[in-house]
Amino acid sequence: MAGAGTLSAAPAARGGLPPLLRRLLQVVPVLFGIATLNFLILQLAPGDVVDVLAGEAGAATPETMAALRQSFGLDQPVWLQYLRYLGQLASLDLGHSYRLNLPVRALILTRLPPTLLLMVSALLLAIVLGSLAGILAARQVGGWLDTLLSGVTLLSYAVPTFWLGLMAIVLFSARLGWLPSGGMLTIGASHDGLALLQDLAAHLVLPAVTLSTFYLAVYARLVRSAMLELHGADFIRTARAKGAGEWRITLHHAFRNALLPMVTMAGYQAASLLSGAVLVETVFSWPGLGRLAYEAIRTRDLNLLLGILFFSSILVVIVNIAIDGVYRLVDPRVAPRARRA
Amino acid sequence: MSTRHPGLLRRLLTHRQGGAGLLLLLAILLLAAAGPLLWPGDPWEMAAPPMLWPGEDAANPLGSDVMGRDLLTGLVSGARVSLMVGLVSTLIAAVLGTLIGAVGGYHGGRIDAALMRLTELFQTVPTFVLAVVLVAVFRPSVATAVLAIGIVSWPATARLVRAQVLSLRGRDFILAAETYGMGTARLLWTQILPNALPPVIAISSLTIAHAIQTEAALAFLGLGDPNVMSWGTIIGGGREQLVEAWYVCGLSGIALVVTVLAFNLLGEGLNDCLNPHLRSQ
Repeated sequence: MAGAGTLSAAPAARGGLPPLLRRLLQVVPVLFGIATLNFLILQLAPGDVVDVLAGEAGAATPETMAALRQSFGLDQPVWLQYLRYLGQLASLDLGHSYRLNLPVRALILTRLPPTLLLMVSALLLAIVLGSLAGILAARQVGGWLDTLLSGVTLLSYAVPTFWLGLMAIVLFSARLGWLPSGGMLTIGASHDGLALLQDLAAHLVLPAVTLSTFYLAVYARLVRSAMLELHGADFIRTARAKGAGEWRITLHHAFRNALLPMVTMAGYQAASLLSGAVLVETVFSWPGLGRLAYEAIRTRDLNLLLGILFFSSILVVIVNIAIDGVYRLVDPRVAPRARRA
Repeated sequence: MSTRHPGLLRRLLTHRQGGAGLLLLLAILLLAAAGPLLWPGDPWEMAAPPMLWPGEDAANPLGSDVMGRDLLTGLVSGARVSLMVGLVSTLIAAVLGTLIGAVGGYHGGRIDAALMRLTELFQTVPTFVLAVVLVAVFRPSVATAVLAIGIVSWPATARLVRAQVLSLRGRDFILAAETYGMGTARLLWTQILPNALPPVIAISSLTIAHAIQTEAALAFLGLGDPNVMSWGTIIGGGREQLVEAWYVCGLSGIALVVTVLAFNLLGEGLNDCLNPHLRSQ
């Protein structure tokens, strides 16, 4: 399944724009599409826009409702409302949460760092442990490790992350008492320096491992097949003929090339990783965007939910741009023509 | 299907993964169909003392939850919900995806470019968050869950069908039909789609698996139909007493894993049996 044309690795540097700027310009239609999607949802929702944004939350006074109707211009034609909505989103004004009585943008921005921490930790875990498992499995096809890996992979595709998280809490927090069952920091404990980091790390282990399991299996399988494909390659045979050791061949020659499909895969998975984070954060009360979404569901704060949808889509786009950059680092062949000139 | 692909069932059964998936799926179907006859009762009704462990009382073989509701009755109800939501939402996704992919791939040019932009958009948006927003805005019910999951699940099918159509587009028999003067709609319907369909069937099995997981996740977050007991609902409710009665979440999760596994295995099997040439790659 090819993902969004995220890795437009085509070195067509027409116009001579720097690659980053060119990439940023490609983002505009995507954002436009997401904004349109949000507007469509609002239009099709039962009741009028203001009912959805404020009424559902049940926290807005009739006066604010009337003022909102005025500001949305509900008496005006739909296309004018649409333009107004686009203008608001373009200035990154995501509206107001009437439940929490705070601007949606501020709410989202304060919850962003924990989500990023969780996603990056999970991705790193998946890449490091997945590569290791894939390399080891490829060294002995059909061996016990290889068989174990294919079994675990099969299972991890079927296990829902939120359930895995719950079971991990039962085992590792309740029964064994090794790790805290939720939150990001111990409440009431005023740690500082190293103790604070330790506390954070202890709270991070279970959510990060839970979120990473699925991707770990994906990367392990990917690295395994990439390594096997490279097995008979000419440059590997050359390295062996030169007398390079098996481990040096594996790591220095083969694995470096196996990195490419892995980076591509990471780009495709940015959106799914964010979806997974919503569920994992809910299970572990991790105070990030996902937990915020869960609170918004509970209180039927629909404007906040729409804001999270819009913002998390932007986040996926940004991650994709970053991964494009990583791809250029890993594979110099993708460097744009502009640099060669 | 077995008439058009003679021996497909036999090939599936001899395929290690496909056969296992098929057998697991039969067991789940049997449970969903016969369950209400064997263990009748309302899954919402209090039928036992609360938090009865599995095996403690033969009347409630799998025990009861915090509210004293029989877990086995709940699991049977969940099986029916999961299968129904999985099948119907995948049907929606398959129809949408096939339509969008076939039209784009056949027409090319601007229509194709516009449809591909749409597909990319749906692959950029975190699909689960979109499903959450759709269900929350349009009120949680089985119908909104099915529609929301269908709406977020079509892009993979669309890309697949588009690629298939593009590769079929230049084949001799298609050119022959065009030379004949066959209209676009008829050409797509009678010549291209039947040849593009087998991989769609294989990918649909995987889509069902994912749809079942999504439904469970929605219900777990409290976005399930308030009148329907699904596995996600049971897991969400069991969270309150997670440590004391972990079997409530545990057993419904295992049911979920087995069902998703069955569809994944079946999808692998179908993929191998329907496109043997793809396997050699």
